[in-house]
Amino acid sequence: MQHEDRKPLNLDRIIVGEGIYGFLIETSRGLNAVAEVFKVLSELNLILVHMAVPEPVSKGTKGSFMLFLDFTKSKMTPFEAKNALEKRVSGIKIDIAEPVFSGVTVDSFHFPLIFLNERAVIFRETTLKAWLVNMRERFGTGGEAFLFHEGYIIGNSVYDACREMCGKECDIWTLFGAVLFASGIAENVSTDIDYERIIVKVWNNIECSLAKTKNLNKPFSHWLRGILAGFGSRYFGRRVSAVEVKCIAKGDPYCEFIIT
Amino acid sequence: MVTCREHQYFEKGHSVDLWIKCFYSLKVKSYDAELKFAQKINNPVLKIITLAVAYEHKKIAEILKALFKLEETINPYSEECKKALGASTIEDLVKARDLFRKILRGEKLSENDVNELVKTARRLADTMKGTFLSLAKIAQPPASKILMVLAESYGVYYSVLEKYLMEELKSAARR
Repeated sequence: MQHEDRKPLNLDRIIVGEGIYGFLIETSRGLNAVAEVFKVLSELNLILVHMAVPEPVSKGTKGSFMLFLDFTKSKMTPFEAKNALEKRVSGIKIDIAEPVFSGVTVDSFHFPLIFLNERAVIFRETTLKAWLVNMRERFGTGGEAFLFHEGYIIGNSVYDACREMCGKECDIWTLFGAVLFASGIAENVSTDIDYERIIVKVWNNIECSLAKTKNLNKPFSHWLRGILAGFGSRYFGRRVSAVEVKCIAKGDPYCEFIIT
Repeated sequence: MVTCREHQYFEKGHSVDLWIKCFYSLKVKSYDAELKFAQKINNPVLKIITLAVAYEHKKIAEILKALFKLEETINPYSEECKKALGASTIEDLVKARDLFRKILRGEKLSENDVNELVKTARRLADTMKGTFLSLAKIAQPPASKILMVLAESYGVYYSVLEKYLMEELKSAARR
């Protein structure tokens, strides 16, 4: 899929806007109840702002799903809508997340966040900038070395996680690219592997995209370079080096790393 | 213009060459400055502490010189060195230097000044230790081992020194 065909995914755990309410809907009737809930929502003329499915819902099983609904144009109150839904759809139970204050509604039902079976947190770009950019401005070469080392440890553990998911018969570098993509670290990863060397091309990686405005004349990545070195070291079973030869921070269309 | 290159003792992909030159030059300059400062101090305890700090700088400079075969020094306060050493180190050095100059001018340091000086010196020591440790992780022997020794010895050394520095500066501030 091309970059221009992709849409951003808003994780919306916190919704900013007037009249938004969170509905946690638990059902013992699986997908049948889900279908009926959406039919009723449409009849009630409510606007669906965001949806999450924290527990799998399949046919005829127990499960839950979370909706954020916009009531600004509705003649019903959220509590009237809850009653209407519970009356018209059998086998569901609804809890409402009210705005924590005017204009801000939070999913107060789910914690912790989980990604690939482990606890995860969400960092916005400003936080990532403090970590991946300001760190090296404050601590110079020492900060860069720290980022690399941190990345290296992450790369080791990502390899172990991928190996576990992969079993024996899978292309672990393709899975690695998928993990970077799914976690939002990079948009696309391609690898060219020969006997002792791997060329990795990475499109739109978060670390270097944060430095695009800096007009740099040298590659910027240390954290992702560390991840690649850590992952590559596990892959080859020896300590490898990862050198960035192209970088979006200095105007190249993608970042390119050579692992040897 | 000093170029930023890789160094044989470090893994490929790391441009540590400039940091080595800047840090070495900074240690040489710090040694000279502390030595001059110590000569002008009357307080015997403070004089000895300052001399000890000066020779610690000298020790590190000599080790780096021998390890990396360094000859010339460069301006450690240049823009390139500021990037390599990090803004935190340069800002803290300037802050510490200004407070030391205040002592040299015979001005009495307030309790706040003393606290600020000790805090700044601690931050500098921690940053230096952290930098040594981080660089040791990407270096190859013998540099990795020597940087590790420097990190550990500097941490221990500074903890001992800090106690006496704080005591002496505080009692001088009260006098």
